[in-house]
Amino acid sequence: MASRVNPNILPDLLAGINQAQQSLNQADLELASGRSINEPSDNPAGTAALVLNHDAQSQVDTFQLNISDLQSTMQVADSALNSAVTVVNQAISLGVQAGNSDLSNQDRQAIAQQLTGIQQQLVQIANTTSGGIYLFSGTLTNTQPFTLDPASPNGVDYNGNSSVTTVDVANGQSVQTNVPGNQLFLNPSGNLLGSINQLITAVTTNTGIAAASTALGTASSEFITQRLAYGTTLNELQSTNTFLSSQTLQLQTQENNIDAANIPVVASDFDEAQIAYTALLDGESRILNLPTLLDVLQ
Amino acid sequence: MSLTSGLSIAIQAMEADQGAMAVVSNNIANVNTPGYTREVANFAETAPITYGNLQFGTGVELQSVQSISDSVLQLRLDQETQNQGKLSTVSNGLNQVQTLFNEAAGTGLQSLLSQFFGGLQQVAANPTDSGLRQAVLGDAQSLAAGFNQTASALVTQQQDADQSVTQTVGQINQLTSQIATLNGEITTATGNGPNSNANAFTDQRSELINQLSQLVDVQQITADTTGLTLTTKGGAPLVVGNQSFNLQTQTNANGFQDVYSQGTDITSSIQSGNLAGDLQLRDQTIPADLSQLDTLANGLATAVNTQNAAGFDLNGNPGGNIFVPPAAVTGAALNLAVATTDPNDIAASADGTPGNNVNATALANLQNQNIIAGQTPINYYSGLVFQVGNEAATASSDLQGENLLVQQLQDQVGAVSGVSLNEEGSNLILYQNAYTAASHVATAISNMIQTALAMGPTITS
Repeated sequence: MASRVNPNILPDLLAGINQAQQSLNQADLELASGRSINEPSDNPAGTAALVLNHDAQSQVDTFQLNISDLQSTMQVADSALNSAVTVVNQAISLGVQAGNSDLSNQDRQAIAQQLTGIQQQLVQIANTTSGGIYLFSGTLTNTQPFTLDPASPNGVDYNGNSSVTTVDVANGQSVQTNVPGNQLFLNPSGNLLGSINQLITAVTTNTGIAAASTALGTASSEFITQRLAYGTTLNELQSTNTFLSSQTLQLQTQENNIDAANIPVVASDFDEAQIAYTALLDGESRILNLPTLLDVLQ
Repeated sequence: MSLTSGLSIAIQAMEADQGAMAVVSNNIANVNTPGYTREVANFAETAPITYGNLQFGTGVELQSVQSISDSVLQLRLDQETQNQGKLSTVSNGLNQVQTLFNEAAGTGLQSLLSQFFGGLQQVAANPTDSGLRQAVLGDAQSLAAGFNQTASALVTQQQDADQSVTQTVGQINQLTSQIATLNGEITTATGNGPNSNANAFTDQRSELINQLSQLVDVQQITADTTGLTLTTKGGAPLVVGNQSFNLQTQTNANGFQDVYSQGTDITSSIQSGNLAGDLQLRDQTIPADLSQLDTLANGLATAVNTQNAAGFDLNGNPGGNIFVPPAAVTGAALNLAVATTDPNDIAASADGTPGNNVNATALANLQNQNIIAGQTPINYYSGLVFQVGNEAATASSDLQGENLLVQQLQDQVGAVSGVSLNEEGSNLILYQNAYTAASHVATAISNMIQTALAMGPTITS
C-alpha cells in the first residue's frame, strides 16, 4: 500500500509563498537602500566593522576641520611675520643710511624718528590677533604679548610665555602651531626688537651705528629662521590634509566593501524571487482548483 | 436457515453501511477542523450459527469508529512546538533590540560617541573658542540622551516581556483547566462501555495540548486509571486527571514577575515555549545588553571626569565634572547626564594658561584609549553591536530551522490523521454500493417470502 500523503497541503503552500515573499522583500530593501546590511543581523561582523569604520571616518573629518582651522590662523600669523620682514628690511637700509658720515644731525634725527615708527609697527605686528586671540604670546593667548617700555633695553616688555602648542592633526601626528613671541622677536641668538631699539639709540646719539646695524642684520636673519616654523607647519598641514583625504577615500572604499549591495546580484535575486513568487501563486491556484473524487462522482 | 434470518442479515448490513456513511459524512464535515483526526468505520463479522453440521454467517456489525492518529508523532510535534514557541518569542524580541543598534542605517550610539570626541579634538586645536566649547557640551548632552534612550528602550522591552509572562501564565491556566475538563469527559465517555468512543474529546484535548506547548514546556504521562497527567519539564504539575493546577506569578526583587507552582518558584526551570522565551529576554538577553551599555556609560563618564579634573578650565580653576558621576555601574546608561552648562568648564589647559591645549588633547585622545574594560569606547561598543546582531541572526536562523521541522511534523501528522476527500469519496461509493446491494438482497428475500406465502390453497372466505 502506498504511503498516505498529507491531504491538506495549504500550510506548505502558504509557507512557500511566505518564503518567496521574504526573499522579495529582502531584495527590495537592498535595492532601495543600496546597502546589503539593513539591520545588524544581516551581517553582525560587518555591522561591527561599520561602527569602527564610521568612527574612523569621523576622526578623519575632525582632523580635516582642525587643519583648515589651523591653516587660516597660521596664514594670518605667517603673513604678519612676512610684513615684519619687510619693515625690518626698511630698518636695515635706514641703518645703512644713518651710517653715512655726510648726514646732518637733523637728518639722523629724522631717520631715528622713522626707526621709532618701524619699532611701533613691529610691536603692532607682534601683537597680531586672530579670532580674538594673540598669536605670539605663547599660551597666554588672552594677554597682549608686547608693550612699549622705554626703560627696557629691548624697548619693550614681553608679557607672554615661552610655551609652544602642538595640535594632533592625524592619529599619532602632531604639529607645532605657534612660536612664542619672545623666541621670534627677542631671541638671544638675534634679538630683533632689542637691536632695533639699540639702532634707534645709536642713530639718535650717533655712536656705534655700524655695530648696531650689523646686529640688526644678524637679528633679522635669526627672525627669518624662526618664522620658517610657520611655513614648515603650513606645508605639513597641506600634505597631512592630502593624506587624510586619501584615508577618507580608503575608508569609504572599505565601507562599500562591507556594506554596499551588489546591485546586479540583488537585481537578479529580485527577479528570481519574483519568478518564484509568481510560480508559487500559479501552482497554488491550480492545486486548490484540482477536483477531488467527490467532484467527479455525480 | 430461515428466510427471515437472511432478511435480518441484509437489514443489519444496511444499518452498518448507514453507520459507516455517517463516519464518512463526519470526516467530510470536519475536513478543515483544526486538530480533527480522521475516523474509520471498523466492520466485523457477527458470530456464526450452526445448523446441523453446517455453519452459517450471521452478517456484519459496525464494531467501532476508530480515530487514526499516531500519538508518538503528536508528542514529537508538541515537543518541537515548545522549542518553536521559545525561539519565536526570543527572535521577535531580539529583532526589536537590534533596531536600537542599527548602525548600518546610522541610528545608534557610534555617531554620538564620535561626535563628542571630535568636538574635544576641535577644542584641542582651538582651546579658547567658546563656540567649540559650547558644541562639546551639546555633543555631551546628545550622547547622554542617546544612552538614556537606548537604555530606556531596553528597559521598556524588558517590561513588555515581563507583562507577557503574566499574560502567558493566564493563558496556560486557562488551557490546563480546559484540558482537565476534557480529561473528565474522556474518562466518563470511555466508561460507558468498551465500544463507546471519546474521539471528539481526545481530538480537542490533543489540539489544546499543542496550543499549551506553544506557551510552556509540557511533559505527558498517560495512565489508564486517571487519564492524562501534564507537568512542566521541571516536574511542576499542570493537569492530573480532571484536576488542573494553576501557575501563579509573584513579584521578585527586580520588580518582575516570577512563576510559581504550588508555592515553589519554578522560573528558572522553565525551558521552552513563549514563557521561556519571554523569561530569557527579560532575565538574560536584555540585562546582558543593558549591563554592557552601563559599563560603557560608566567608564566613559568616569574617564572623562578624571581627565577633566587633571586640567584647568578656561577660568584657570582646576577642572570639575563634565558628566554627573554615575552612582553605580548599574543604571549608568539610563541616568547618564551632563554636569555643567558652562562651556568654560572644559579643562583644556594643563597649566592654567588659556592657550594651553594639552589636557584637551588628552580628553580627545580618550577616544583611542583602552578605558572601557580594556578596550577603546568604540571597540567596546562595536563588540556590543556584534553581539546584538549575532544573537538576532542566530535566533532567526534557529527559528527558521524549527519552523521547517514543525511544518514537516505537521505534514506527517496530516499524512496519518488528515481527512482526504478522495479517500472519503471512494468510501462513499463503497458503502453506497454495499447498502444498495444489501437492500437488493432484502427486496429479493421479501419477494421470496411473498412467493412462499402465495404457495398452497387459496382460502376464500
